[in-house]
Amino acid sequence: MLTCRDIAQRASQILDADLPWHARLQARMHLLVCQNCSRYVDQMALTLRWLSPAVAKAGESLDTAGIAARMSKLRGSATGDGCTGQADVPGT
Amino acid sequence: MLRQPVQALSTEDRAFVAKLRAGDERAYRELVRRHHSSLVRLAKAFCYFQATAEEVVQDSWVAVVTKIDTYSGEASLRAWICGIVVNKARTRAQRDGRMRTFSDFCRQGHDGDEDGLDLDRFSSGGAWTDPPLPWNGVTPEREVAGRQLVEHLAVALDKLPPAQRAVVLMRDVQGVAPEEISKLLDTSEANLRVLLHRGRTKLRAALEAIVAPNE
Repeated sequence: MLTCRDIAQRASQILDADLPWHARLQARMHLLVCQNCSRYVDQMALTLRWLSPAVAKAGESLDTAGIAARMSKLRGSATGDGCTGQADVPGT
Repeated sequence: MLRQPVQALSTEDRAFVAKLRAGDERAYRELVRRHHSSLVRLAKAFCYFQATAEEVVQDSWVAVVTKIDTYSGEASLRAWICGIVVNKARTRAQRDGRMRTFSDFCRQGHDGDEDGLDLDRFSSGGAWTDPPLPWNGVTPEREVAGRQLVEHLAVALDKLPPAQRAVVLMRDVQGVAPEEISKLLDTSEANLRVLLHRGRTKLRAALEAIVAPNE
């Protein structure tokens, strides 16, 4: 049987459904009956949901439109002749 | 140049890549709006300085523009772009003498760094003695101490050790699959799991300290 401490230590894996099936089942059973752990895991999920808005808000002052315009223009004249090091571009 | 086929992408992503290849400014605007801020943070995890990170991402956008024809679609577009940023940031960090090897960088996420979970909140038997309080009615826009909660969260993200910050950004902000992140960072999935767990635990704890501080 998993303890509350076990659940808190596995919260990230629980959210990712990244546990073996028997551990996942034990975690699910625990969360059904333990309000504190259920709250803990829900709060971690909420935190992660707010991350993208947090990063986006922090970047509001950046001139993304200007960057995009330059990229589009560059694309129009791009010949793929090595404006950048090919070594840094993954094969996929 | 021979264009590579875009194989494993959704119809929507394939159409988006086609627009990028055609130089559609609106598509570039969407791409930059969606990713620029988090990519700068990702680069900063390697390069330390904001100005250097911004340069790295600008260089990476140039690489995206000039190499989009070579993108095969085997990895997601976001993983491909993250890969460019990570490679350029690592090259730059190594050139500036800020990183010895990549495993050193990864170790910064582990050494002397607890996982952010306060074990004193549990009894010896593992039950909560100081359980989490509810976050009733909490919204990301709520202001606490003169700042919205999302702004507090961005600050907490910036305070994570670099390797934890990088994996949280790639996984939870960019949405890159764990196996793709492992490949990009040249680290095991087990290591990735630990870094993610530690980073996420600290972020939750940072919000908890603001939303429901223990008396």
